[in-house]
Amino acid sequence: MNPSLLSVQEVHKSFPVPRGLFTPGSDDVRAVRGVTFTLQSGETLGLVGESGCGKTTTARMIAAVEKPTSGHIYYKGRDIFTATREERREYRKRVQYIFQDPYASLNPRLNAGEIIGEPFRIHGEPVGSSLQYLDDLLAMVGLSPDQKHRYPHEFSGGQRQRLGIARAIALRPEIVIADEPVSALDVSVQAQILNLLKDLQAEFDLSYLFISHDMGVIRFMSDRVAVMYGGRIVETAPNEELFSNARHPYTAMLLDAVPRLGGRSRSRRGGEDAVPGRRGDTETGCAFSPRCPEALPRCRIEVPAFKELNNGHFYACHLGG
Amino acid sequence: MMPVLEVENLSTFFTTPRGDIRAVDDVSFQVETGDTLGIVGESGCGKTVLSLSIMRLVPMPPGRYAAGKIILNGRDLLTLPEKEMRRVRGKHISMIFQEPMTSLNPVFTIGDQLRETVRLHQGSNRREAWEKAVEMLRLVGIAAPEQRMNDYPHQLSGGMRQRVMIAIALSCRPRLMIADEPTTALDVTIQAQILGLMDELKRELGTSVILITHDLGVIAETSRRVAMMYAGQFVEYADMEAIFSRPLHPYTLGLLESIPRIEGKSGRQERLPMIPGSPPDLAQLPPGCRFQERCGDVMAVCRLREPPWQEWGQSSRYVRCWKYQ
Repeated sequence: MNPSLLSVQEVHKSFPVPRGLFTPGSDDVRAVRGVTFTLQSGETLGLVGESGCGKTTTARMIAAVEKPTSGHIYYKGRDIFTATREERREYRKRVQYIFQDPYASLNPRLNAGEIIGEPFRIHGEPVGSSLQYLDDLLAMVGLSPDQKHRYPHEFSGGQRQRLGIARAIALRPEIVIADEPVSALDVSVQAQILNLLKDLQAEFDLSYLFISHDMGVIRFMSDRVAVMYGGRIVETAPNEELFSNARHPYTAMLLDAVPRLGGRSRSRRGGEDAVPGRRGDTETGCAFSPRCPEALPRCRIEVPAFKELNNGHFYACHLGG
Repeated sequence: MMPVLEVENLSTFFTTPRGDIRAVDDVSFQVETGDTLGIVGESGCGKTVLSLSIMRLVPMPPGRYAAGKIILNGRDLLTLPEKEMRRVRGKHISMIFQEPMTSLNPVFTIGDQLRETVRLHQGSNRREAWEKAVEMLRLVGIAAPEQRMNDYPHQLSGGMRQRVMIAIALSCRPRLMIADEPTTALDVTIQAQILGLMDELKRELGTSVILITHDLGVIAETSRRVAMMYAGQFVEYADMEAIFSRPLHPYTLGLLESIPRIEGKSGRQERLPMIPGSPPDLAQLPPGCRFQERCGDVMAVCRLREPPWQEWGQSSRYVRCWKYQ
């Protein structure tokens, strides 16, 4: 069998945080606590979870800008952190990033043409062999080629995100990590950008790691979904399966918390007002147990193992056998 | 029912070298006692300027009230001297904002900040103010309120901070609370808690609420009446159920269709219906309807004359569109 395009194996990441100004030593914040998943060619894996759950740290390790504390990330069977410099450089060309904030992620001193030309400069390639290619890139993301002399502040939020997308696809990558790419955008613009991302995926056979906190957006974009909580994946399943047959209480809580457009109907749940993954969190047991409406005594002691419910649907919970 | 607040033909413009920016233009609505009015719009549509206009917090100049009245308890707020207006803010109308970290003062404890409001508007002594503050924290669901009184804002999570903001806003039992994107910075599960809390308190204290948001889902959960705002104007105003079951204005319809849903039987959509383009520049508005460039139903008249704000049917629905003339 061919190795997966991308395979993330038992990845952990801790950050040291000083105890205090006058207290020596430091504590570890365990941002990611053993994450495993694969990404196949041409598919979209949706990664959903609330702030602080470790989704961005996971993405940064895949982009090779952060090194895991332990665990491995394989690209076509090669461990990207033991690879040679040249291999790593090649990998960085194949994996590109779209950021949440189109205001902060574009250099205000570069014009649009320079921004999308930058990946070529960084990787020492002639600018797409011709300037025509830059014009084509702009057209592909729905901007007009005569806008290439404009600076970021002259574009709207949606247009800036189009520019960020053009920069990400400039080197024809295989994997695009989209980290909350529409969270800063208005609803009407959000739909334009999501459709654009789907069009580009079909055209260039891209694989997306699509990170969002919005369940509606995740459902629209993903082939498979992984739900993260407290640095771990707590449930993963094919899209339709997850939305129709969620098993983990956290997934259920997330789905329940989404306001329904049909009008008020549901009970409000949300459990304790806790921020996951913070220092002082229980190091034992299920990270979700303090907020879980159905927690058993066992949940506070023992980390639940992954169980397979049916083909491709896994969840980590002590409940339900 | 008696309206708490009546806004009539309100226009707030800003003078700039490029010409007037018509941030709020001919907006009219009422808020009934104990009711929630949702105002929906995208960034730059003027919804925040509208709420600041009601509070008379728009910096003038460059801003100015070009027309209209804001009537609270039978008095037009636009004619009040600033000294009296200061008494209205906090006591009769209070406001909560999107980002609770930036609207709380980081160098004072939350107890100090709560007591300040109570003492300023209710003239309580230290002891009474302390007790009222503790009671408010308990009311907004903060555990161990006596201990929390001594906490600084950075010691609280986002959801807790927003609870504190609500406690401050409601500490003087105002008749009206304006909440400008109160849950936008929060996670969905925390958002659900805060919306639930606001709903409970509204019932308990009889406060009317104006809820400003870009999120139609939040509106569906909380509001009885809904106004859709686009490029400085209300384009539709109706009961919540009517907006969702039968939107009239092409903008309302387009917005509703463009939201990716988690419910629905037909499975996953391949493409999202979308509104093309982006909103017009408020300093360089085209003649006619402000939505014309993005509208699928645009007619010749839409490019010539601005559609009037008119009642439609009998159900106190209003719409600003030539299709319904």
